[in-house]
Amino acid sequence: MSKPTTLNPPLKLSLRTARILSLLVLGGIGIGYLGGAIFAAPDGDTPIGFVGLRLIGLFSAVALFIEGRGQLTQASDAMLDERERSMRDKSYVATHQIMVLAMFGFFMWSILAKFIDGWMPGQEQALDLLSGFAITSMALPGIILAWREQPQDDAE
Amino acid sequence: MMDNETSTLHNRLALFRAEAGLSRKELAEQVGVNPQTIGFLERGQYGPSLELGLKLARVFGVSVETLFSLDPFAPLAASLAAPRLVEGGR
Repeated sequence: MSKPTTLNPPLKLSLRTARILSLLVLGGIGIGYLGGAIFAAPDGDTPIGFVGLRLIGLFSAVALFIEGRGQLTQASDAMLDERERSMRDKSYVATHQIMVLAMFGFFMWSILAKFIDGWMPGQEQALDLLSGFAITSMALPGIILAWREQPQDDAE
Repeated sequence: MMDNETSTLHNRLALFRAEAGLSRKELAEQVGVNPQTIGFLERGQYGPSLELGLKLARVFGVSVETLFSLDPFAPLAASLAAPRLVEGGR
C-alpha cells in the first residue's frame, strides 16, 4: 500500500519551542507594528523599542514558516496521510478566517473612525501594518498547528 | 466515518493490534499512514476515512463494524464472562 514519504524538514522545533516562538510572533508583531503605528513620532519615525519587537516577531515568524510545524504546511499531499492533510487544511482555513476577520475589523474601524474622529494610520504606518499583516499570515498556519497539536505518547 | 476529531466513534484498534502482535509502526506501514496517526486513532482523537477504516479491518481480517462502532464496546471482561454465564444458567 502507498505509504506517505518520510518528511525531512530543514528545521526541527519541539512543540514547546514552536509555541514559545508563536507567542513571540503574536506579541512582537502585534505590539511592534500596531504599537509602532499608534505611537509613531510626529516625523513618522518608529520608536526603537517597537522596531526591536518587530524584529523579534519577524525572525520568529520566519523560523515558524520554515519549520511549518513538522513541514505539514509545506509538504505535498503525497507526503502526508489523511489525518495530516486534514490538520493542514484546517490550519489554512483558520488562517484565512482570522486574516479576513482582521481585515474586516480594520475596514469597519476605518469607517467608524471618520465619525468619532478616531485614530487612523498615516501612509507609512499603513504600510507598516500591512507588513505586520503579511508576516503574521505567513506564520499563522504553523502557529495554529502548534497550539492544536496534543503531546503524544510515543509508546511503540 | 468522520474526517476529524471524534467523540462518537469508538474503536477496538488497540485491542486487535495487541492481539496481532503488531507495533504501531508495522500497522501504519500496512495501511499507508504515519505511526502517529495510529496513536490518534486508538485514542479516539481522529475519526478515519471510510477507506482507512476498511484497510484497518482488512489487516485484522474482520468486518469494519467489529473494529469501529458508534456505541461504546462492552468491556472485554464482560464479553468474556457472558458465554460462561449463559452456560452456567443451563
